[in-house]
Amino acid sequence: MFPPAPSLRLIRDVITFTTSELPKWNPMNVCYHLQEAGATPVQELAYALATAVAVLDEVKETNPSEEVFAQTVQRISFFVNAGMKFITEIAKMRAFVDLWDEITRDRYGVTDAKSRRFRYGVQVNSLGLTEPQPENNVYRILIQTLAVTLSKDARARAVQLPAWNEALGLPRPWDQQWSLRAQQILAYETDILEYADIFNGSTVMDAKVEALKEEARAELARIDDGRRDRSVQAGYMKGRLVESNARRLAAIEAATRSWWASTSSRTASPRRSRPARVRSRPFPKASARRRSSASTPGRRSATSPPSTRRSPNSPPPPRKTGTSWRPRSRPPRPAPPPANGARHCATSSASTAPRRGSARRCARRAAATPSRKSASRSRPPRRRSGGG
Amino acid sequence: MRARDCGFEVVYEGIRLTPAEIVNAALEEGVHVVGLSILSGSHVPLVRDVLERMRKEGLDDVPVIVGGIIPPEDETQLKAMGVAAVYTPKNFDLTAIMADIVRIAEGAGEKAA
Repeated sequence: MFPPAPSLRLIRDVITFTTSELPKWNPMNVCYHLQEAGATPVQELAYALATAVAVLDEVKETNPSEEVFAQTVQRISFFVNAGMKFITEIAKMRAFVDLWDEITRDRYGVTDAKSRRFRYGVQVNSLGLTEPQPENNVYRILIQTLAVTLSKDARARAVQLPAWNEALGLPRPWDQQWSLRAQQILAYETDILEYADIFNGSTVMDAKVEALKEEARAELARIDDGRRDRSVQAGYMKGRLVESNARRLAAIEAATRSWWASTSSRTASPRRSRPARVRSRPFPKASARRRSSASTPGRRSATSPPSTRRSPNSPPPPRKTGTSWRPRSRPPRPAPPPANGARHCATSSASTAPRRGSARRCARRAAATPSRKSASRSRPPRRRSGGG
Repeated sequence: MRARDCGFEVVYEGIRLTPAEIVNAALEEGVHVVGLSILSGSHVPLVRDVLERMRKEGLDDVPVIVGGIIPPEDETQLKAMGVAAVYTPKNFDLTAIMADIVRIAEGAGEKAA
């Protein structure tokens, strides 16, 4: 909402106030949005840590009291995003733990190891959830959750999971419950909480963590060089994020699936990683749909025979329109926004004034680029009706 | 960015704007298309507000397109209100969307002329 310098001052004032008046309060959570803005794992590490460093520098400058400062360090927490690159995500979290320990010890001289702990919560990735075949999002959510819980030394303190149908509309209570159950099954039905860190001693994991740390340290050093001017610093990070996001979008369009892997933009070959064709019908026939419409979503229907197309307790199947199914019973609509404001409303007003040639070139390029991603659907996507 | 690459002149006003701010910007900049991005779930009342304000300002000939997490029923409702196109996460081919927008803008221009 404000330029970098005044924002930092505001955060500093809040921290200073809460540290003395509300000692158990966690005044700030650093950075959720990085991955969703297109950041690579190295950028997530570097930019989240750089943000925390900027805040701590600011607090240290104005509050020379050792005690206040130690308290501040201990109370900083992070909010991280977890994506689909499973091993990389585990390594990323381990790298976060190590780097935070390093920074708080070496840069700020925090001696108490407990105060140097990297405390973080996670919202697993919503950006990678798809609207076509939304049932697959359940697997994505669970895999992403595992990545931030499997390694004990780098385990998330709090996890929140999106709903499988978030790309379709607001989730119903039933959908939210399904996401909650995933966490509970992981915590109470598996044995992951009973073991020490299972990655300690893994040479593969250590190598990956070290590589991420090294790159992140280099990026942190570049950011630190610009610390005299916060806007330059912010501008640099924003520029890098925009670049990564452009690469990510281009990869989606080319169906190379090289999301978030900073290196894979060089190595990914569209041919090698093109998704396999699916021949079977993705969704049940109309008769199956009618049958299921009688049963409440989520209630196990013991009578319906197991089917290869639809498991008995699967969520309600999509309607004929397939990819654009959405929940039958909707939660109550949110109250209209306050008169003064549209909270999440952005605009980009495009004044096309197209140079004729470029507009035509654009249209031609669009026509010449067959929708590669449609290969992953068994049915050709419906044609858009030119916005009619 | 893709729109700029395709030769659009893009006026990006930022996030969390009120309908009044959006309509005001559209008026001042004299745009050919207004694009709204709404992920909060309150797209129907917000878009209705924007369209009403545009009508009052005499901008009813400027097409409005909407992108976001928009269920099909709401898409029908938005289009009935006069929204020219609705894009959801399944529309990942940005260049195709740009071509679409060019068609929408040209259509609106011809109608006006």
